[in-house]
Amino acid sequence: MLATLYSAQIAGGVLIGSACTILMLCNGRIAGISGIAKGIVLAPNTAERLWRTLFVIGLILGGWAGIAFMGESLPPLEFRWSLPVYAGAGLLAGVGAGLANGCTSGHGICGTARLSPRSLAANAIYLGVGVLVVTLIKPLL
Amino acid sequence: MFALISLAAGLLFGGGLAISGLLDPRTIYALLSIGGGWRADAAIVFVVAAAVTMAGYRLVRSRAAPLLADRFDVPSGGAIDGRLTLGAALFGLGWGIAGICPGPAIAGLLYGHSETVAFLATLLVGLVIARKGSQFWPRLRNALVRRQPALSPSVDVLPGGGIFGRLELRKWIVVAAATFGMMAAFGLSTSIAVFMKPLEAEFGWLRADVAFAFALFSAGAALGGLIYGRATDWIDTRPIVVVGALVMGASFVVLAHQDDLVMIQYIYLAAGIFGFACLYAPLAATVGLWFERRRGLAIGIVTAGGTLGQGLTPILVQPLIEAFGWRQAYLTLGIVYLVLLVPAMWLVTKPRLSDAPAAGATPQKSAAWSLPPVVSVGWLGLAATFCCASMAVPIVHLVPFLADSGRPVAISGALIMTVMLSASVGRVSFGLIADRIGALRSYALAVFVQSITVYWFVELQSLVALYALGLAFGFGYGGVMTALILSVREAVPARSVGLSTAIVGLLAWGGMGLGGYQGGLCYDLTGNYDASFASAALAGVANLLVLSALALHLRWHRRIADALGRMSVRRQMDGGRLAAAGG
Repeated sequence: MLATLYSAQIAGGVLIGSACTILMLCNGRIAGISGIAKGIVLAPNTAERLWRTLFVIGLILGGWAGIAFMGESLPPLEFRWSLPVYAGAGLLAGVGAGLANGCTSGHGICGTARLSPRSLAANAIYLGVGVLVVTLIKPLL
Repeated sequence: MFALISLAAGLLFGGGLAISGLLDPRTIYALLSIGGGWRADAAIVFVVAAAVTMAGYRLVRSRAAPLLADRFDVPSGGAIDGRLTLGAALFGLGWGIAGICPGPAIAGLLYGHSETVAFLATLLVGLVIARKGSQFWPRLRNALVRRQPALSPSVDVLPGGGIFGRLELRKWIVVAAATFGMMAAFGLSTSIAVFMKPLEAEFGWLRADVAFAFALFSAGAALGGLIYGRATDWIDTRPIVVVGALVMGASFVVLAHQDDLVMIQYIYLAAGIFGFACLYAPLAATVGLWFERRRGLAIGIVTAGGTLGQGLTPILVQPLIEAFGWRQAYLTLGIVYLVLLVPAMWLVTKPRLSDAPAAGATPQKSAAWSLPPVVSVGWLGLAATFCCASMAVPIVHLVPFLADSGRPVAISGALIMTVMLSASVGRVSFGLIADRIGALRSYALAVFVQSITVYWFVELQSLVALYALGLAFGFGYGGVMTALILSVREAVPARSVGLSTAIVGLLAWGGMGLGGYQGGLCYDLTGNYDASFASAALAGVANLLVLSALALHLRWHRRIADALGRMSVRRQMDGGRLAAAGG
């Protein structure tokens, strides 16, 4: 019953989990998006930059394919704020993920899977702050 | 293989994010709304993903090493410290406000919402700031406080170059990359004209609306140029031009999804301030720093990239628009810019102090420029204003003029193309001429060619004569920009080339706007273009007068300097004689 209700979420989770596993099995790397994105800019050599860039290209194309596959069953995205708000939020999230060395993928999925204490702490903190923020902005949503 | 696996992993990851609905901010808001309206969707995705990963990692870690690498590259588990806490808290703040995680922001990129693009752009900036923060602040403070000539402390050593010829190779790589950058920058500005027609057709906008977008773009480009020109004097060129390339690519992607005229105008404004401006003055100034010998040729090639971009964009983009529609054409341009331009701009850096042209070589050529830099820039800026006021008339009004005189659109397109391609040749040629006779003289020569040719567009009837005129005008029109940039480089010291180039560029843009406007005004007043083109020729004459005055000022200034020099020598000699007599 639950499985059919949330079949898309479960399937999505399985895909994401397999992606993390494949990347670790073959390349020995953590599938942390902010780290990979950061590495495109700051990586020390071309080989490092190449695999990161290809991962991001895959991510973009995969997202596109997923949207196309789901078709009408996905509601259109809804963005509440004006552009400057998203720009500001991006900057905060970027500095934060940079300082914390990870975001919802690196700490949230891979870190949790490794039961890394740092990641579990980070998860607790950003989830807590996130809940706080959303509670505060809830009337505007 | 290693790289292909990451492509595959990216595909799976992106697909998973998309089908689970994580791209939608509402999913994240619902996850974080424990006060009411909580939904399990996002939590289920995270839990399932983490569980699958945990099972997968268990299997993987029984191996000694990954299949395609030497070792597992896993964080070694640092302390849970202030940095982690602050970072996670800041991330939670941004994440909670936007409702977007970094992964979904990237995976949803082809959806083309400007919100995700804005989030992602500043996310990257934030990541880089967090990393570079500790290294960058002291350097910036040094640059601001001590005002060193900010030549980049380290230029990448190209692998395999060896000692012999490495520097020469590096120089020309910078020239090639900068040329491509100029092409792309002017391609962006030309895109406004190219997309004008489909936008008119789809939304019924007036030509003036789209032209206003161009005016905003130009104003943004000119003002932004001042900032980045100055920045180029202080820090390395690479970060400036890479950001500019990213912004230009992102602008195209976002433009592909717009339905609103005002939005399109704003996007072009932003593309001018944060895209075009990041490339134009910094590229021109940086290439000038790499060369002492053959500087004219190098700048000629780079500036020729600009006219090539103006000439080629319609040829390349028009078929795209016709085949796939304007949205797809914008999207394609955006992807091409992001994939090709960004890495090309990565190659553009300033020369190391030790690689810069020998300091002793500079004075011999710039001896002609004994004027203070401010005065020189003033003169050259004045010349640039008249110069561009003159060239703007044919550049802006040639196509409507030809249409009015009943010529088919294809003809006017081909004529503009002729002008632009001839201008590319003119830029390289006048660069070479400047290497022989000096920048200012070659500028005067180019202005002369431009001014005597500009009027005849309204007089000539035969098509062949028009094309010939287009060739001649284009040759001069191309040459002026190159020779002007070279003159600026010769007139001011290396540490203020960036700002000076940008100031002269700003005045040139101003002249361009003025010329385009007065051309239209003359047309509205008199009903034909005769007066417009005549005033363009007049502006050319005024420019030649300015140059003559500048030449006189330079000569006069040098004479006074010489006279002062002689006087002090004589005084010394007199003093010596007196001393001898006294003795």
